[in-house]
Amino acid sequence: MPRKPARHPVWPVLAPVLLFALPLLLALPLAIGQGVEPAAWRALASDPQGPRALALSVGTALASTLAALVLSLWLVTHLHGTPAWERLARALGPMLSLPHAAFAIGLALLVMPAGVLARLLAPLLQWDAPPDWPTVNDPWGVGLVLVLVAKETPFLLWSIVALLARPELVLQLRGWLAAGRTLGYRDRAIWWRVLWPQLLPRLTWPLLAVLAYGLTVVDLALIVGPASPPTLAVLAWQALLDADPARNAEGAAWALLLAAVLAALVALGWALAHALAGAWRAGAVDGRRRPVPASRQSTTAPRMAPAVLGMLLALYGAVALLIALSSFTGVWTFPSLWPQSWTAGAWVQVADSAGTVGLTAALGVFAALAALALVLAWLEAAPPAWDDRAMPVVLAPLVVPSLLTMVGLYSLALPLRLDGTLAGLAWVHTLVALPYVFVALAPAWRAFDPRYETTALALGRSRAAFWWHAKLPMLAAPVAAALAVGFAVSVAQYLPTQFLGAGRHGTVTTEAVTLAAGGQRHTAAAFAALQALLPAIGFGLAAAVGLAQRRRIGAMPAPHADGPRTA
Amino acid sequence: MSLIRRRQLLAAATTLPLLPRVAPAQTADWSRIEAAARGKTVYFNAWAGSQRINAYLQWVASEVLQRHGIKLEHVKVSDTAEVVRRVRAEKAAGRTADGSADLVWINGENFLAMKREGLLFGPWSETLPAYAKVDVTGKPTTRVDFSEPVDGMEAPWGMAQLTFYADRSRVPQPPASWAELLDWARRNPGRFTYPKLPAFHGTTFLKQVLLETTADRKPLYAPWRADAFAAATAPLWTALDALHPHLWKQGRQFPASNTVMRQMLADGELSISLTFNPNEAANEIAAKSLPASVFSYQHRAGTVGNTHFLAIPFNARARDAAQVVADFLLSPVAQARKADIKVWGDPTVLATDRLGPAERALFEGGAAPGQVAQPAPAIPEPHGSWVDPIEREWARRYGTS
Amino acid sequence: MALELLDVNVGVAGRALVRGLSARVEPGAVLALMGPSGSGKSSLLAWIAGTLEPPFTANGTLRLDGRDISHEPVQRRRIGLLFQDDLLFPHMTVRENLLFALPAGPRPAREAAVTAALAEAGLPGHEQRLPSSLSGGQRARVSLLRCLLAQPLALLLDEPFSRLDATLRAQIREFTFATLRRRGVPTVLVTHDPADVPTGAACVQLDAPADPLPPAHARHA
Repeated sequence: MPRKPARHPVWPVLAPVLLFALPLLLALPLAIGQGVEPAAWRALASDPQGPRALALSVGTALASTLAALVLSLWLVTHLHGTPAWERLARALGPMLSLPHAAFAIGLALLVMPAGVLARLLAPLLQWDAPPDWPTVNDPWGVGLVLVLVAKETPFLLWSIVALLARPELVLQLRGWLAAGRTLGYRDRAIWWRVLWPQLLPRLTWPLLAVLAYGLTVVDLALIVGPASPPTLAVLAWQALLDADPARNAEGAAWALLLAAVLAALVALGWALAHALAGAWRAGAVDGRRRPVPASRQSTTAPRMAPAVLGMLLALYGAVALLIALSSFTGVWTFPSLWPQSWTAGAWVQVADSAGTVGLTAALGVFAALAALALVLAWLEAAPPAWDDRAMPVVLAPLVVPSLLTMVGLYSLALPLRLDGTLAGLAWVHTLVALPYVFVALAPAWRAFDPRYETTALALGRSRAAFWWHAKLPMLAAPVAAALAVGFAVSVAQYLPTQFLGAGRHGTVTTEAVTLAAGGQRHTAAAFAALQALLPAIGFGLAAAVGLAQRRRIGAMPAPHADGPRTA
Repeated sequence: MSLIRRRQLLAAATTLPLLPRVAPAQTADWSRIEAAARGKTVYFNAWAGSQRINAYLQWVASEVLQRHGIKLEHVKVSDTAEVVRRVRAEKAAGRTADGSADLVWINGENFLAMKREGLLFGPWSETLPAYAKVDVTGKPTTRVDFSEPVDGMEAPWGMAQLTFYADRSRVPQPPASWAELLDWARRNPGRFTYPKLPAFHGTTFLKQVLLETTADRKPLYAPWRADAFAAATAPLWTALDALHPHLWKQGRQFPASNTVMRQMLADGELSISLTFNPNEAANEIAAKSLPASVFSYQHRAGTVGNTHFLAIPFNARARDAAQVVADFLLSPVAQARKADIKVWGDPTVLATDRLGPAERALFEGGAAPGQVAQPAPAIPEPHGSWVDPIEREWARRYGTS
Repeated sequence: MALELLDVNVGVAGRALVRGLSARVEPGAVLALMGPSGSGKSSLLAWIAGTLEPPFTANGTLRLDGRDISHEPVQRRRIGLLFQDDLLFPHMTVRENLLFALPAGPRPAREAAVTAALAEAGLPGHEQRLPSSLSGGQRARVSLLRCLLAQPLALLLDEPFSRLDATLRAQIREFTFATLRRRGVPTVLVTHDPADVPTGAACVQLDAPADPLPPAHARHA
């Protein structure tokens, strides 16, 4: 049997494995090892805040994930195919680029006892001091759930929009909808009976990311979450940051508990999904059809959906406006609606920190590009079958509490003398951005028609020439989106910069957090605005590339179209 | 001398073990250190939550560059515990030279931890030329940090004292003792609170109430013992049980830090707040974050006070330069500017009455609105080993609402 | 310039799809591989192109212009490939797609070649058009041109007309085979539609895989 030359060289896979997978796999045991001390677990068991904190974490994470999922599905079902769909797709970029913490700060300014809403009501209800409202930091975590839902729904919608935009799905969807309509079902029914059962399994990874985030989020829980006791993630974080090593071990133990809880929830969800699937299918094929109205506009739900979308957009707008305004306010006592004094002091501080903006942008660009290079090395060299096995490693940084990961990476970097260096910082930012770049790019990359490459090779061109001149330009839009995501993720990092930078290098986010510790509202708002601005620029550029691509490539039906073409 | 002051000095004197006098600075030695320091970079790990402090440190950086050719880099820290953890990790990794921090702004438990674990370089502070001017007799906390002898392992930098501040429009007559505070809270429910333990200011408030309510303060200045704990703290818990129903959110919830409380005061949600920097309110009024009707006050009989320090980690790269910077920070020029309300307002550790007329004049700043009108004596902190048990007991009783 | 297959076997999972096939395609002639789906015709085509992947296996000799190219990589075989879809690069203009295929050389000569090719195909002046703005028939013609501008020594067509409607099909078929005959390129065509096979083409009928076959011989249509 003649020796067959390998179709693609596999060695480029070494780069992402050595620079990403290996450090992670080494770092996690280092961090976890700190948490397996019996003393730590004993302290855990005797901590009075434990059970309540655990219940809060699980409750808020589950509630927010389910609510975000239901809201996203409902919005997609009613907006797909309508003019509002385009508006939705375009609005997602800006909504996603607003950092979580900034959004929470802005929302708090709206609904807290001394917030804008209360001030609007004060003259009517004759208040001269802020009311005792449980809106922010309420003991049941409702405020936290609301913020999580507001922030995770755009993320889920973005995943769904990306999924539905895939060429092979676009036509299949049209076909299925047509088939269902001819069988007498309304669109809404077709979505719930036929389409979602097929699409939901493809959303497991985004859903997992949302659940993991809700369970392990710290900064949001600090701003709007319960205080006595806080969520488990906050407890872990506080213990890990303590100067006492015994408390650090406790924190690692808490983090391990969280990871175990996440695994348990996932297993539970999987079991539940399988149990329900049968019942869902039975319901789907029961043949009951509601009479289809003569005109499409006569049902309420289709009118409600754009209204709900509008409310979500209005909320984001209000939050952004509040952040911008409060960055200039000085003294603003209740119940006056207008601040008593204005000051540009916060922006003076921002100007003083201008050096950090340069570093933040440079780090972000490097991390995005390096993560892209590693992801492309993997996508090009690794057989697609390896992707499924690689997913757990890729998504580990999203799922494991980032503080734990950072503790492990720091232990790894110390003997290598990478701590405090720019190289170490750039490396850890790349590591953190990589999962997001991978999730953003892999689907589009894998869906690329392999016959383009065959055609180019048969034309006598080299693989490299095809890659540079054809494949990369054709995938410019997903690549730009992935770069924008990587950039945004790098900008938002606090723990990696603080830990591995040994505090030597300041980014916009570290400045924001340390100044927020000083408690001046206008400073916090100004830095939140700055934190939002940088990723917004990235997403804007990606959207521009996407638009240019769509214009150029145009409405040409992609390959795999069924049915003959006409001249 | 009032009864209280005598008791204080007595308490301070009995807690101070016989500290050996460190040899006075030898000028030849110091010139060698100064020469070795030239051209070095010092990484000063200091809390960076206030732009005024950051700006002051920028001024210090330009001064030490000009005077000694030292490049001072302010490493912005949001919690000193991270520096402790970092140095500890470096020691565990065998990094005995070339550490990431040269100078650390520190005190209290963090100092205790670093000293006990051998993470500090020293003794060095009492050999600094500027140390001669430190008010070690009038300000005993400059040599004893949370009842732990400093032993020259850290240099005193500034004074801190628990201070309350309130909005005069809502609080015309401030409660100047624990009993008065409880009474005021009963009449004004929901307008006062304290940060959730283990936040520093929350623990400090508890220490204040403990000192004011406990029958005998002596055990508090000795290392913690379980049997002494129950007896000493019983009045504290009774007092808190009485106070909590009248607190903000009926004591079911506590704000995360004193800075959050300051913002709540500015918004009008609280009427009284607390801080450890006696001049903070004045500072914030000048920065237009607090209305001009805010004023500061202390409890008549005294409030908990301490000193904050500068320490050098054992593996500091620029040891000599760090000492030179510390010496400058202790100089009258630097201390006066630091104490200036318009700059930072942090009280000095120097004995101003022992300074020459020119140097004393540096400290003549004008009064600023919001400053403490009648300063009260500073009560030394209880022994550092009491902090953790108090925090745990508080969490057990009030941690879950 | 002839394409020769000698004793070619193609199989999958231990099962033989094609056994002992030998054929010779002269310049300008067409060999049609016909058979139902699953009979191995596309796999055979892939082997000739050099793109056959596991689980398919094949052996045999492939000679082009006297040279044994059985183990050459795709880029070096000088064999062109046309699929059902035109697979024009959507972000490049017609001119750029065609230039991509041309061997390197002095710029004026390359540009002239592009203009000449478009004229030959009845699409003069279409250089700056984007593929999305062309009709299906125009795209099919440009795709064939791109293939030919790479100066292939042989050409493989994988059901190239199945996406076109009936009237267009006849047109494009005419154009394709006339051009290939004129250029003298040996062609292998895979199709399931007998109407696609031009007159004078040799035919190989591949049967459904269930039946064991005696070695196939070239038969005239």
